[in-house]
Parts: sequence; structure tokens; C-alpha cells
Amino acid sequence: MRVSWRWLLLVPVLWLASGLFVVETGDVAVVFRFGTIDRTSRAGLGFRLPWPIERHEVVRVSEVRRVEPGRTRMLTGDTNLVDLDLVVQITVADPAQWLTGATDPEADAAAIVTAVATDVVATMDVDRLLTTGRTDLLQRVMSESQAILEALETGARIDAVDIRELTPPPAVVDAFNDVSSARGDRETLALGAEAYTSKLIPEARGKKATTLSAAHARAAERIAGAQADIARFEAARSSPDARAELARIRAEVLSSAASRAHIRIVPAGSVVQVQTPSE
Amino acid sequence: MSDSPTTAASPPWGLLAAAALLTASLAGAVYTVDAREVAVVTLFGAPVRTVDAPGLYLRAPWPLHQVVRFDRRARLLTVPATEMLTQDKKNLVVEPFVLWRVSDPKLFLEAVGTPEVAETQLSDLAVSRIASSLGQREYAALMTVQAAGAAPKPMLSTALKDSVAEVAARRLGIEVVELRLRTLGLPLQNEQSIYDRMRAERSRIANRYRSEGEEQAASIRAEADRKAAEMLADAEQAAARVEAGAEETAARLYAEAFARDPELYLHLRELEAFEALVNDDDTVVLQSDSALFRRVLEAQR
Repeated sequence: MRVSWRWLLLVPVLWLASGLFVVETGDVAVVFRFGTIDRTSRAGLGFRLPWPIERHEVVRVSEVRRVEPGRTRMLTGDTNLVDLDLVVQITVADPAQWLTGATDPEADAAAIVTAVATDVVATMDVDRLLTTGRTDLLQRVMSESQAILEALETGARIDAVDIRELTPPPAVVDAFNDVSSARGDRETLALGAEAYTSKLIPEARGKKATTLSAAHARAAERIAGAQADIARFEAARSSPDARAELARIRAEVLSSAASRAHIRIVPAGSVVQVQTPSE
Repeated sequence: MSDSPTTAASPPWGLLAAAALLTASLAGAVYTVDAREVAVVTLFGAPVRTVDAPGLYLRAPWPLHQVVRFDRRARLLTVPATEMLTQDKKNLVVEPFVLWRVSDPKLFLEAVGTPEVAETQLSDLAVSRIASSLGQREYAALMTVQAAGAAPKPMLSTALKDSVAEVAARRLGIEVVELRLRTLGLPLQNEQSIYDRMRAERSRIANRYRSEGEEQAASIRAEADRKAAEMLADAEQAAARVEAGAEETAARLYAEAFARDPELYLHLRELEAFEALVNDDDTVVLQSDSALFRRVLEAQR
């Protein structure tokens, strides 16, 4: 044999070297010694005893795993139906448990979240669910499923639960839309009435002012008229010959009346027939 | 290296062969149980020992001892949707799931052997227990509106889970970790009646909103009308007051004047009244013996 058997001495060296491994950032390596979990090692260069004594498996712990349990029709507390579609984000909390706790931790998380959502939806009425109750729903689903999942020791932790869709079933969605448009109509009607008010009140205020100023004008006129009369009276009274002055005024009035109107003189005792002009 | 045939040492073939033999027999006598596994050691097929901790173990080499391994991790069994009846004979469609793991590998091996068989049995067990539990509950009691923030009560009680777990542990060597209803729904043909009710309820709410809107609008308008009318009435009243005040002032002025010279005053007022009485283009008919005619004549003089 031409090749030296001493080459074989390299074999143990290579065997030992096979225990070196590199862990990427965001990964954790779980080292098994004869099947038992011995230790975990974080990013960097690691060493384990070579096969068959030790071996290692890598778990990606930095990754946020998105789990979609799927759209599910659920009964609400007031026995209506809603369609709920959740998205769950889980991360690896314990790499050793993640590998040995459950065959499919993601599916477990999805099933638990859906089950808890079924429980919670059955305690809420449809109106609250579709309007203000979403946060409450999420919060309760999240805290409850977190507690359950933790007790299961699957190594997974629920980071977030989000609602992708929470709607009435398609068969009744138009009825629900009609309610929101009715709510809109209510606003519109009230707004229309407000607009009416804000037009009517200033108008009334205007009318009020007009009425008042007209009244003041008439009042001023009335007083002015009285004052004029009295001035005339005083003038007549203070004139040296009051009787002559009175006669003069009488003459003035009568002649002005006579000039404005037609005066007919009829003999004493005659009968006058008055015909009022028809309108 | 030693390429000189004259000095070439012969490899220690004997030593290598001995090492290989030792390794082979050791490999046969040594086995590991992984952290994911539990194992049962059998002697000619009969279970003799359970290994439920991972590690390195010895055994009698083949064909004496054999090692049967099972996955010890929790497995998710999703039971297909099943129709069930409540106490008041309402149909429900439930979809339970069971999270289970092998807890007693020896019993598991004897009773079921494979996870698939185990799941069939577990599924039957769970379905029958859930069905009998739902059969004792009223449909309406399954759903109740709770105050915000209250902890939800699981559809299946812990007592139910415990009873399934007890049977599974005793008969199948299985630990039931979790038993819940993934979904609780209605058969398709029953959904329609819910939809009808939902529609009716929605249209009632929509109508309420609309009539509330109309009511609100009407009351806002009525309020506005009332306010406007009030303002106008106030204005009329104030105007009347102002005019009455002016009238009063005028009357006072006249009265004062009258007091100064009643006769003259009356004459003048009479004349003024006459002046106001006669409009443009009126026809005034005077009898020749009337006082006014005489006055007119006097005036003409």
C-alpha cells in the first residue's frame, strides 16, 4: 500500500473540528447531549462535542411569526353572527421549549386565539363589537390567550393580536350599512334644522329692530306734531289780538280746506243722498 | 510521506478491526432518547421499561431488547366540525380541538400504538363528552352579554376537560393539555333565521335613528320659531310702549296748553280737526243754515 496509514491520525482532529459552529445574529443554537438539552448559545462561534455525543439545532428567535387563524363566523352575546379575521404575531420566548414543547406551536397559538375569541365574542353584543368594543375584544383575547399559551409551555409568546376584519356576514351587511346611513341621516336632519335656526333668528332680530325704530320714528313724529300744534297755539295766544289771530287761522284753515275739497252748498232742510264710490 | 516501500509500516489492521467491532456492539447496546421523545423498551415485543427522560441508555443488544419511541411533544388535534344539539334542541356546529401528548408510553403502546389511532379515539371521546355536556345546556345560556373587561368563561368547563383528560389518561396513556371549542356556530340552514332577525333589528335601529333625526329637527325648528315669535312679540310690545309714551307726552303737552287758555285751545283744535278731516278732492256738502257754513262765510269776510 503506497499511502501511509498515518493519514488516519487526522481523522480524530477533523472529528473534533466538526464540533465548531456559527450562530447568526437573531438565532439561538440549542445543544443536545445524548438527546438531553444541555445549553443554548447565542450569536457567535460555538463549540460542541462532535457527533454522536452532542449536536445542535438552530432556532430563529428574532423573527416575528405571523399566524393567521383564518376568517371565522362567530355567535355574539346577543346571538347575532359576525365574521372575525384575526392576525396573531408570536415570537419564540424559549428556544428549548419551542423545539420540544409542541409539534406545531404556531398552529397551537392560532387554535387558542380563535377559541378565546369565540368565548369573548359570545359575551359581547354586536353593536359594541362593531363599534367601540374592538379594543376590549382584542385586549381580552390577547391577555387570555397569552396566559393559556404560557401554561402550555410551547415556547411561544403572543406579541400581538390584531383584527384584520370584523364585519357582519355578507348576507346582512347592507342592513348594517343602512343603519350607518340612518345615523348619518339623523345628523343631516339636525344640521338642516340648525341651519333653519341660524337663518330665522337673525331675520327675527332684524324685524325686531325695524319694528322698534319705526315705533320710535312714529313717536318722535307724534311729539313733534304736538309741539308744532302747541307752538301754533302759543303763537296765537301771545299775539296782542288773540281773537283776530284766531279768525285769521280759521280763515286760513277753511280756505285751505275749501281749496282742497269741493264744497257744495245746499239749501237748509234739503235731503242729500250720498253715493259711496264702489271699490 | 513514507513513500518508500522498503520502510512502509503495515497499518494496525487488527487494532482497527477490534475498535470497529467494539463500536458496533456498543452501538447496539447504547441508545439515546431525545428531549422530544419518550421510549418504551420491549423484550420480544413485550414492554418492560419506560424511559421518559432524555439521555443515553443501555440495553441488551438486538434481538433481545427493542426501543419503541414516541414523540412527547404536544400535538394539536383539530376535530372536524360536528353538529350537536343543545338541551332545547337547537342545532350547533362546534369545532373542538385537543392538545395532547403521550404521558404513559407503555400504556400508549399497548392501547393505541400510533398517534393516528390515538387521535381517532381521542376525537370520539371528546366529541361524545362535549355533545353530552352541550345537551345539558340551554342555547341562550351559551351566549350572554357581559360587562366590558370581564374575563370570558370558556365554552367548555374545566370539569369537562378534566373528565376527558381522566379517561384519556386511564385508557390511552394520553395527557390532555387543552380542550376547547375553536368555533361555535350554527348549521347553514339555521343561519338564515339569524340573518332575518338581524335584518329586522337593523331596520328597527335605522328607523329609530331616522325618526330621532326628524324629531330632533322638528324640535329645533319649533324652538327657533318660538324664539323668533317671542322676539317679534317683544318688539311689538316695546314699540307699543314707545308709542304710548309718545302719546302720553303729547297728551300732557296738549293738556298743559289747554290749561293756559281753554277757549282758544278748543277753537284751534276744532279747526285742526276740520283740517285733518277734509282730504284732497273730498266733496263737502254744507247746508245753508249750518254753523260751519256761517263760519265759512265769516272766514271769507
